[in-house]
Amino acid sequence: MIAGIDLGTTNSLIGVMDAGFPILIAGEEGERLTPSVVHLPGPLVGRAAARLRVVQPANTISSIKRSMGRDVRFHGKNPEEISALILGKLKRDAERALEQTVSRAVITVPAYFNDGQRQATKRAGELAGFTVERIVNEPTAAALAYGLDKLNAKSKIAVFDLGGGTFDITILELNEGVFHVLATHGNTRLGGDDIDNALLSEIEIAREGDPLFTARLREAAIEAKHRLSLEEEARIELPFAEGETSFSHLLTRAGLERIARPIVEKTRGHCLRALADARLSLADLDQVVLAGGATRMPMVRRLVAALFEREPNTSHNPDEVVALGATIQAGILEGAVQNMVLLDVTPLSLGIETFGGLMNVIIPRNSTIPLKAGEMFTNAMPNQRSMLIKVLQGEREMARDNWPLGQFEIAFEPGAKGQARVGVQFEIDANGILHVLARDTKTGAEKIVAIQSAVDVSDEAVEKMLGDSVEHAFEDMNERILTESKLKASEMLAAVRHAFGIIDLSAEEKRKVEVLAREVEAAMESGELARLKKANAALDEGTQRLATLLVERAMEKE
Amino acid sequence: MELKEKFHALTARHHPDIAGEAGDFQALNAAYQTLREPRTRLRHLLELECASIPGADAPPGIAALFMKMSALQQAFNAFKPASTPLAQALLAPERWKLIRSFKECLAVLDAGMDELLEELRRIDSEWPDKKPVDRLAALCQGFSYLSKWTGQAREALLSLNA
Repeated sequence: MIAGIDLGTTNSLIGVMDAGFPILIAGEEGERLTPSVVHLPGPLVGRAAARLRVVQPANTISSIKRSMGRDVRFHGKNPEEISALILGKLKRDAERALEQTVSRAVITVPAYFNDGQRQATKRAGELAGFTVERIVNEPTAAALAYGLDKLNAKSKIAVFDLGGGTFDITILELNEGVFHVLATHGNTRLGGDDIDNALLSEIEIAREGDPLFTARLREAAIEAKHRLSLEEEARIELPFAEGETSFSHLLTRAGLERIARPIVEKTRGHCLRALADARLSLADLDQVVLAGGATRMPMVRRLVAALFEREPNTSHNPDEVVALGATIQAGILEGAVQNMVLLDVTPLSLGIETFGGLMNVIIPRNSTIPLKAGEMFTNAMPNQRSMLIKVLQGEREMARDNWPLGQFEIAFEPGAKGQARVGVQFEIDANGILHVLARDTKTGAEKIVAIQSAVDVSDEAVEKMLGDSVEHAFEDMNERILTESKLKASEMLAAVRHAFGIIDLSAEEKRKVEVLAREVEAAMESGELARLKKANAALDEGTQRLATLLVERAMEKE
Repeated sequence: MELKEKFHALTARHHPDIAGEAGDFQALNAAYQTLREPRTRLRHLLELECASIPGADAPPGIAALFMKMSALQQAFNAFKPASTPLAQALLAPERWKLIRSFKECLAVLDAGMDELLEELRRIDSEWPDKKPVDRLAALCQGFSYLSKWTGQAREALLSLNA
């Protein structure tokens, strides 16, 4: 028996095939969703750990998925080990419910995960005692669940998957049970967590040095965010937050949407790129389906409807659809599901560094996997003994801008320049994981090349990541937001001066804008974040008419 | 779309999740990837036909297009988008101009692609009585440039419209 697992940023689920249908298994507490939260030492996992988040935030780890593939530690454990604790809990829950050992699993990852993040997920599964039969992309898994009952149909679908931590858009074609992914795009650092962070920084009363209050506020804000998917307003209340007094803040849906809009809008560019890579236009698509909890937000649904020019299909529960798909893939692998096969792609281009620090693409993004691509290397100098090859993943032209996967050395036989030849095969398996084989052109013998990991995380990257863990969220974030706000202020002040030279406002209007601009200058000077944000927002609001006039004028000239 | 249909039918039989062996599918996948693009398809044909692929001058018009594309790409690289509505409004005319230029460029590239495909069809209709490998090599080069620039222009339009 193979289990299907959705190892999510916020929640995780496990399922198995039962009489030809995927079913999800409830944990001890009767719920199918297990919070991806770990409390250390202990360890406690799931709902029990989530309850401690507000009491002992420093010892409770959430959103560990955002750190996968990175060299960081929390309480002495790396992200794989922490993820393994979550997977171990799912395993025990499944074994209890099924009364048998469950030792094989299919685990989902965001489609846009790179090689290192996939390997880390696979190792986490192995640490938890699973044989990991397949790493499958979340949006593709969702497509399997949506397509299960329409196998004979031919159609093209887009899967819009906005989860707690990551965003993916996948375009695929269904044809007689073949689920052929045409293109995928995404961002592994874009999700509901970012909305929560923005919401918290907006509420403004997060106080440094009070992690308990911050943790409680975060919990309450998230709960309010969820309520606002159904209601127009929600009150965030923390009884006795400040000794005698209680904290209370009214959040409206419109208010939440204003905060979330810049984050949600970031999905647009990825969707357009995926469509372009799939070489489809909107009219070619038959439907758009949703996955991930953040797609419950009405504004996300509106954005999807506007972008794809149709209402999204919401017939599946967005929290469960990925786990159902993982379970179906498990069924395909064990033979319980027939007439279905999944053809996925590698999300990122794979290449090697060449002279001048450029990236030479060997396998372009959105290539169907599994696949192999060969490259021949020859000696550039007489009797050159070896050559160092650096392997990269990404879409940027310069090697240094891409993600380093690692490096390996190939050995040359002594010979004149250009005489020694070694063929190297880059193979991406069905999990999206890279293997490198070197072939001696004389003997034809192939050998697996071990890649030395290139994980050397810069201080900056560590800092950025620490920003994701609850205990460090604030000091780091306030700093970042202050820098961003200052940049925004400078840009606006320059724009106001420039616009005054083009548009003739009435003296009254001009004076109003000038007052707002002076307050932005003063706030920038003071370095007070709250004041600067307020001043920025006011100037933004106060220059709306000016912006409209500018655009109108430009359009007249067109 | 005959090629894709065939690929799907064979995938349903030979995918490792169904057949167990990865080798057959990898060969099938490689064949499909090669055949679906004119550029790689031609290159493969040339490899089959010639011991060494003849060097070729790019088709006429490519050099002029190259100048046009690189000037446009430079203008695009120099364009710094703004984050606030007011600054964006100020930049709107410049952005529109770039969008227009890239759209015009894409139309030229599409037309160029159609011309090359037309010539390929002519060669195909006389194959194998006539085998103009030099022309094929030139076509292959042409497809290479045009597809690269089309990709660049699309990418630029995507980020300008975002």
